[in-house]
Amino acid sequence: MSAQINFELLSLAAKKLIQGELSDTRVNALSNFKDSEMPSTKNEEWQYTDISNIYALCEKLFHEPPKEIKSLINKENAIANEIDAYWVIIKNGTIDIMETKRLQKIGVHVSLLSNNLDKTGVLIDDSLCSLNAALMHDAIKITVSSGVESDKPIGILFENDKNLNNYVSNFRCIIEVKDNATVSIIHAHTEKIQAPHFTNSVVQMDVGENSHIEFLRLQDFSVHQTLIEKSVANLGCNANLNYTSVDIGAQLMRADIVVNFNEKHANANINGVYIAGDNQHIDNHILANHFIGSSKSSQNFYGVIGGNGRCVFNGKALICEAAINSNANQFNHNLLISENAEINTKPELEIYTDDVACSHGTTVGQLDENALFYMQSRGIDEVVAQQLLTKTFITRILNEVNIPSAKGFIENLITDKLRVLTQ
Amino acid sequence: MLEIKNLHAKVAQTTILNGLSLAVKKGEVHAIMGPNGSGKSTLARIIAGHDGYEVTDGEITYNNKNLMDLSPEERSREGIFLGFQYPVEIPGLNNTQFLKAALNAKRKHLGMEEMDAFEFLKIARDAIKKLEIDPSFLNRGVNEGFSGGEKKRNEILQMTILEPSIAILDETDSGLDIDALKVVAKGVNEFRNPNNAVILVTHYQRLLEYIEPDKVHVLSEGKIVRSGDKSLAIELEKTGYAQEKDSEK
Repeated sequence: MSAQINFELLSLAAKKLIQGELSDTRVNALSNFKDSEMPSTKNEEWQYTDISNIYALCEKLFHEPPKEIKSLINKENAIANEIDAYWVIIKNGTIDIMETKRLQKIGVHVSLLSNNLDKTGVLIDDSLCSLNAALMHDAIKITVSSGVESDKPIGILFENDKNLNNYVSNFRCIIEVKDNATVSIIHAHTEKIQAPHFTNSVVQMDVGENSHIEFLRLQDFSVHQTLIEKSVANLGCNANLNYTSVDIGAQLMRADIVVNFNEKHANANINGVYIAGDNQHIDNHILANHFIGSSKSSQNFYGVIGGNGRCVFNGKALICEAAINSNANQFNHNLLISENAEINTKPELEIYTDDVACSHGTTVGQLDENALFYMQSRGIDEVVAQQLLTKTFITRILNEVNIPSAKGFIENLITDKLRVLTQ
Repeated sequence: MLEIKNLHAKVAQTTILNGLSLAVKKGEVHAIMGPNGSGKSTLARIIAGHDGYEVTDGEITYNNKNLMDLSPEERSREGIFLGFQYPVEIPGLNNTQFLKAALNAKRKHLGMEEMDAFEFLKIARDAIKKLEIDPSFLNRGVNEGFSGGEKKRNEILQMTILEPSIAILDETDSGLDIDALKVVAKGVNEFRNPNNAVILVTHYQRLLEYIEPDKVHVLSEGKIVRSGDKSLAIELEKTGYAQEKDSEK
C-alpha cells in the first residue's frame, strides 16, 4: 500500500464525489491503489524525479474536498482564441455543449464518461493512474467514427475554477479512433494557477486500423504547478501516431508516454521539446512496446535548460521476441545555457529478437562559439545571436508538428520562454 | 581608413603576429599573400574582433577609432566585414532572416529606419541576380548543406547587401572552381569604389588575375616582409615563398 497517501482519507474523498455513475471504477481504482506503491526515487524509473511535494497537496485536498461547481464556461483562455480548433472545454466536470454538437456533425462523438453508455475501459494500472481514477470528477470520452477526416483539430482544455481551493485536479481523456480515420488533437495544459497545485492527468488512445492521429500536448503551467501525465496509445494495424509534446512551464513535470504496437505495420513518431529555467524540473519517459513486428517507432526530443533547471529524458524501445523487422530509434539533444543546468538523459533499447533496425543517440552541449562569432561579425548583438541560435535549435520540432494552426502559438511560447531564460 | 601598427598577437603561448604594420586607404585593394601559418587568417580575425587571440602589443585604428575598444558586432556596424575562410553553417536559421537581422542592426546603428521584409527582399533579390546566385539561397538555412563554392558566394552576397567600408576576404578564392571564382571576382569588382577598401587574403595569384590589387604584401612569420604592386604577386607565383623567408633571414 502506498504509505505516503492516507488510504482512509482517499477513500472518504472518493466516496464524496458526485458522479455516482462511476462508482464501480472508483472502487476498482481504490482497490488497485491499495495494492500498489507510489513512485519514489528508490525506483529506477523515478530516480531523478522526486514527487513527494504532491503528498502534502493530496492531504490538503482530503481535508478540504472539492466542491460542486456550477457550469462556468468561458473562452477567455488565450489558446482557445489563438488556435483554430473545435475547443472542448471541461470545467469541473461540465462540458461545452456547443462544440460537442459541431463535432457530432463531422462524426466525432464527445461526452463525459458518466453520460456514456459504455463506462468501461478506464485504464487503472499504477498507483498514480489509480489515484486519478479514484478522484477524477469525470473523464472525457472522444470517439472518432470510421472514415472521419476532421477538418480542424480538436482541442481539449481542462479548466479549474480559479476560486476553487482544491489543490489537486485529476483529468482523464479517453480517445477512441475507429478505422480509416484522420484526426488531430491538442491537449492543452495552459491554465496557470499561481499557487501550489497538482494535476494528475491520464490520456488513453486506441487507434484503429489505417487511422492517423496527430496528438499535441502543450504545457505552459505556472512555476507553482506540478503535472504528472500518463499517455498510453494502443496502435492497430497500419495505424499512425504523430505525438508532440511541448513543455514550457511547471515546477515539476513528469510525462510517461507509452506506445503499444499490438498489430503490424504501425508507426509512431514521438517528439518533444522542453525548456526549463530556474526551479523547474521536466521529466519525459517514453516507452515504445514493440510486441509485434514490422512496426516503427521514432523518438526525437530537444531540450534547452537554463538557470538551475533540471530535465530528464528516458526514451526506451522494447523489442519483443515476436517483433522481427521492427525499426526503433531514440534521439535526444540538449543545449545547456547555464552552469547549473542539468540533464539526465538515457536512450535505451531492450531487444529480444534478431533482424531489427535500431539506433539511438544523445547530445549535450553549449552554443557553437563559431556560429556566435559569425553572427556577431555580421552586426548581430551577442545576446540576440544567442537567442536566435537557441530558438533555431529548439524550433526544429515545428517541422514535426502537422497542425499548421498551432505552429505560431508554439513558436510564441518558445520565444517568450527563451527571452526570459536568456535575459 | 585602417591603420595597423606594430601588431603582436598570440594564441596560448604561441606568437602568431610579430610586429605587423599595414595602412589601407579608401579606394585601395590590398592583397596579403604568404605561406601557410604565416598569420594571414589571424590578422583577418583580429580585425573582425575574434576573442581567441591575445593582442600583446601594437594598435589598430579604423577611421581614427581604436578598434580594440569595439565588440565584433560594433565593428561590423561601423563598416568592417570579414569574409570567412570557413563560413559557419547554422542549420535552421533562415538566410533571409539572418541577412535582414544583420542589415537592420547596421541601419539602427547608423540611425536609419529598419527595413521591413518587403523592402529587404527587393534588395536581396537584386543582389542575388547580380551575383548569379540561385534564388533558393534566400530560403535555405545559413550555409546549411551549401557546397564550398556556395558558401563563398554567400559571403559575397552578405558583403554586397551590408555594403561595408572595408571588406577583408579571407581566402575567399580557396576551393572555388573557375566559374565560381569569376562570380566572386565580379562581386568584389562591383563592390569596390573610391570610398571603400578591400583586403584580399590569399595563397595564390590566380584571384588577382580577376581582381587587380593596388598593393601586394607578403606576410611571413607574423609580419610583412615585402610590399609591392601587382607584379610582386606574379613574381611570387614563379619563385614561391621560400625565397621571401630566406631573404628575411
